[in-house]
Amino acid sequence: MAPRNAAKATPETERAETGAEIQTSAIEQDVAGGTPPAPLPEPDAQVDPRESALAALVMGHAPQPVVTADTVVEVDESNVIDFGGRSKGVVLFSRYNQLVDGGFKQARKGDVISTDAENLKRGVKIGALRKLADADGTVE
Amino acid sequence: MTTLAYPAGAPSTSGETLTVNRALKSPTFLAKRIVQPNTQFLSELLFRPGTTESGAVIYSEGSIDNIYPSRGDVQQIEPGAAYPMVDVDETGDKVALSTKHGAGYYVYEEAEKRNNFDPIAKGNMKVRNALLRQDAARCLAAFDAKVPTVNATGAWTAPKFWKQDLMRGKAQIKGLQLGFAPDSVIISPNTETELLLLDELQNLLPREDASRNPLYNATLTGLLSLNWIVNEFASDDDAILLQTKVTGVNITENPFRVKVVPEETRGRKVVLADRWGVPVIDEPGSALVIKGIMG
Repeated sequence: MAPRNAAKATPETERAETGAEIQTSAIEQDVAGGTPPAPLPEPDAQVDPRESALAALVMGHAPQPVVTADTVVEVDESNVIDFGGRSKGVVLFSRYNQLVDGGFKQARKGDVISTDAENLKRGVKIGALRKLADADGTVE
Repeated sequence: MTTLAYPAGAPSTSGETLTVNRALKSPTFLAKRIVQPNTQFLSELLFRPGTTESGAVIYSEGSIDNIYPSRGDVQQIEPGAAYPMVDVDETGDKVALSTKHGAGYYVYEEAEKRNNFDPIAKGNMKVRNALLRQDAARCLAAFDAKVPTVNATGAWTAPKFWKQDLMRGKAQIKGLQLGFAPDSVIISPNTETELLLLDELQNLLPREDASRNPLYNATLTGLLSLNWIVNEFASDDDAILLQTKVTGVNITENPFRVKVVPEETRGRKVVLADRWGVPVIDEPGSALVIKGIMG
């Protein structure tokens, strides 16, 4: 009998007495202009990445949007496409477009191109290109 | 002679006074106040409608990399000869989960008694904006995650690059030979402003025709035969080219609705607005994200 009485006693303790201060939830306090709500818990590093990716997708606040540029690209430096320069970069986007001497040129993802320093810098800034080291190992 | 009808007819209202009390008793009225016909969810604007009963939707995603066989090809077959086999490259189905997104606000009995509409007006506006922002963020995140990306050939603040990128993008999508025909482009208000300020646009468009002169009619409507969707939540640096109603499906489990729940013990009513669903991009090849349009 004792456990049953104990179970019944639990809701009794939550009932507010007349005149007693009522504990409000964080959201209610926020609306009432009181203390700020408790911060959201930090994402657990052990969470399944697929689950967190799905959560990020459905919640719409992906901390780092998964763009095509993040995928691993195999680099084949045997075939360098000339884009009017000597600075080499590998294409990370699905396509890389550039106007070369007034003409339109396009490279596919994974292609290695040699372009001028200005376009390489812009491509790296956008995330379309990754800078490749020269033959002597130095990065321009 | 009076006639008695059973059941009683719909209640009639007298006068034009709208009271807080009446609004709180009409959730459908509040729903129309929150999301008006001229404000549309981005997911409903872009994607075709779909439904789910269970909360989960299984869909197959169109492949953009392997649409032609990597092994084998169509060949002329001699009588009795074997057919060449091609690889199928089957991929598994994907699952998306419908989620409930919503928000609410309180209307206290003081406001109801004093007929103070401010809580309802402000609450409606904030809930509407938050719902639209959340929906747009989910849509745009889906584009970032799935759709092919390409760089802009140059900043669209300079002439010709915007035309170059959009026309090349359309050609690239059509070049997949999957029958896609992109018809819309999503840009931010800042991008729209930059395009409208281009001297090139004013010089190209007929000055004599006030309806098409950007000085008198500051819209991009009809340019490049595209439907220009200006969304305040879109990135300034991206333009998204897509085919509406084809690129994705807007799975709706529960359409937008409003509930009014009385909390008499606290002397207030809670107005809750939510919609259940998930936008899914199942034909990523019909869209293209152009990045770096502002620099």
